[in-house]
Amino acid sequence: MAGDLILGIETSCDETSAAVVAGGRYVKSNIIASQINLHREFGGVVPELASRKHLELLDRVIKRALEKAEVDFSDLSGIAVTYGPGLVGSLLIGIVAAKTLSWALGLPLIGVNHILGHIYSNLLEHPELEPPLLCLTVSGGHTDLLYTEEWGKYEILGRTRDDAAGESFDKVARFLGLGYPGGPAIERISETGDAERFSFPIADLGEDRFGFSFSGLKTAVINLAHNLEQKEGRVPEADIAASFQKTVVDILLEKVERALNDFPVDKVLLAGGVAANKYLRGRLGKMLRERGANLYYPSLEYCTDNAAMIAGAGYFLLNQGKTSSLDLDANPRLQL
Amino acid sequence: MMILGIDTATSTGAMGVYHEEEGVLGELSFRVDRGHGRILNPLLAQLFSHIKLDVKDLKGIVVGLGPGSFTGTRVGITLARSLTLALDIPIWGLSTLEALAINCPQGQPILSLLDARNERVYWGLYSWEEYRPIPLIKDRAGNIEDIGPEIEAYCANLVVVGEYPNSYLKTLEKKFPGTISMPPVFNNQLRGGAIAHAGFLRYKDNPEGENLERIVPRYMKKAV
Repeated sequence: MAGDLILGIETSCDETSAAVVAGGRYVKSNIIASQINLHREFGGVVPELASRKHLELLDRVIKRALEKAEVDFSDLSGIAVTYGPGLVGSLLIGIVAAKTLSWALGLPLIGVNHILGHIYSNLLEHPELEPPLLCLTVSGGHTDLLYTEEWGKYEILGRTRDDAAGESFDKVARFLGLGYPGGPAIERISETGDAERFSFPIADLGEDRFGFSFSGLKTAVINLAHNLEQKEGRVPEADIAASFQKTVVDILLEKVERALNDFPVDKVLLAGGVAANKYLRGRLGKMLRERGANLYYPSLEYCTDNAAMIAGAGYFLLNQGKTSSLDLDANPRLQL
Repeated sequence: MMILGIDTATSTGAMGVYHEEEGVLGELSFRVDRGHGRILNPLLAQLFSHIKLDVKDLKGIVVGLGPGSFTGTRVGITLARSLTLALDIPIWGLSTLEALAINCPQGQPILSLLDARNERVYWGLYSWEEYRPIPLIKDRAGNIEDIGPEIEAYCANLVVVGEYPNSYLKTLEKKFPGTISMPPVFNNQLRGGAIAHAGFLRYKDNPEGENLERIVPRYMKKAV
């Protein structure tokens, strides 16, 4: 348990989180106050409601994170905060809190890209991990395939051109009336469905060999459900969900395999909220084993939005001198 | 003994530092329509650096709770609550309408008024007693046309303060002809030093400060 202590703050969506992490790899505390029950009745995150809740919760969550880690502000080496992508009103709460703490305590401020945080979440549970490696980040907001040769540097091989993978889960789940959040709902009902019953088109992105597209798939699923309802009077939700989930995973696996041909590494990281999907983990793991590579993914606590991954990424950025000034602003559409 | 005052709920952001013996050490009032989240911290840091103050010497913070811009109010309160967390000092909340009423210490009843767009307003009625505004009618949200019966008893000598379109004033003048006056125009906006002084008075009354659960925005409107 060595290394500098970083306080991480994450308020980009509907989790209010603060964490203390040592040396970028060892979690001393990771407090997450989820607002999921607050937003459930609306079938998705209500931005104004999320901002209100972050303000009420954040200072208490930070206090808990310090107490649980048994440290004081004076033990810290820096304060890391998510500055995008995410909901602007939610991001601002974390950013202003981090800027104020950094100024009042005389500590370096480190603005962290949320997607970078997801990549580093793997290090929190596999501290021995070293590049070169491939990383697939799949969540409600992102679908990115990266190649990393050393920590802190990465090459973006491909990203989605329309919906993120997790977004398509949410939209299909909402359409089928399966509830919110969509990912776990689709996964659950798919267990009882026939994944081979329906086949959906997969977009051909031509030259963009590692890119993703999920918008056409979502439309195809919705059209199919409409047609079946008109013809048969009922919608076979489980079979549709299972076939849809299989197609999403087919798309993801195809791009990872293609990347492995160009970048023959033996480690692949999975990150982001969709990394919690066991069907994806299972199929990706099997494919990698057959090719002599290992799959790494974080446990559920670090798949969802959390501040530990922000503190982890913040440690590496701080060591590279990548700190932020007090005019750090929210960037809702920040990319890697 | 120094107190920081801050209110960013209106389109004029304000911050100031009041010293028990030396009075206002520094204050900033600035136009801010958007981007509260970016500029507030650098401005505060600059204010402290120019007047050569160490933030660790603060003994308390008073913050405007609105009503006003949701994002503006949240940013100001987040900053204030984070400072109390970092420095372990007391915090007090202040109505933004009260913060405006401070600018009219003439002894008349004060109608504090803020535009909430589309003929909507936030308003409160205050009287000036012992160096501070005391609420006569609790802050509320409503239509400019609907301000009337409740304040008639006070309107013989009413002063109207705040940020609002000229048409709202005309509406009020029609209702209460010949009785309304205005402060000097520069008093229609929040003043950092005045807010910090209000914090100092609160410190005298209640040195322990308020519970954090009370330091939340007064939205006067549901989120959904």
